[in-house]
Amino acid sequence: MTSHGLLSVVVKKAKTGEVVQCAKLKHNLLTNNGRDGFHNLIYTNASGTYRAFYAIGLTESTITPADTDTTLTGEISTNGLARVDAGTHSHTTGTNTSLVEHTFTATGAFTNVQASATFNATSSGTMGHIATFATGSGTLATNDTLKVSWTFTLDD
Amino acid sequence: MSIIEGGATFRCGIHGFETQNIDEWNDHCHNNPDHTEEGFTQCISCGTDIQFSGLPFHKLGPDGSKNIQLRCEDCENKMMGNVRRVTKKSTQQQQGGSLGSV
Repeated sequence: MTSHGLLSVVVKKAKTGEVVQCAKLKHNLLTNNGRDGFHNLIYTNASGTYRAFYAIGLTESTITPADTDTTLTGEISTNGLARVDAGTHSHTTGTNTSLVEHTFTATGAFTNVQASATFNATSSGTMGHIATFATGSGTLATNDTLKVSWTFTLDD
Repeated sequence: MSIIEGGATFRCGIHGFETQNIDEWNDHCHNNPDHTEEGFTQCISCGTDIQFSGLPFHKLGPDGSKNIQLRCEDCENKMMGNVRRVTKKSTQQQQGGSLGSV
């Protein structure tokens, strides 16, 4: 079984309407804990120890994702960009694709958002997929939005 | 034309179709009503969680997002009620205007 995550990120500046594409279907890394979590969720769990991985986290830190990562270094926890359950999480029937998508709205200033990860909880939990943006968001001000779309494929 | 990276391939288990080209994938799913969207989103008016299924396929946009936008039943009913009221009021105004001009 292979699971791929593809990250897309779009920033929209509130004042100017400028749109910046920070990542477009950028391939991810599946962490070791994420792989274990998926196996538990799909094959072995009798109860709800693991829920689905549709919470999205963000960081301004410069990171190099690794299989052994268990947390998102420097994860943002304030000003509208804190980890949240994605507003949309859906599957296209008859296919190997699913989508986890959320639009964050900044309520304060940020210097440069650079990476995202998925989790199975809005705090703590297990980190599944992680990816850096192709280019950082640049500075964000209040009311700027950051739309994060994770597209997943899962098949044999 | 957009090609996805990293070895990920979009596959259809119904028609045996697979591709790494986003445009081809969008066309395939759009043209085959077997492919629908199921899942959860938030009402675009009030933010309440909505579970949906059987929604027509939504294409991946040029920015890699889908933008599934739905309105919950309550908000839909309120909106349609407002539309009906506006329509009725508008009709009455037109009638009143005609009468007033006579």
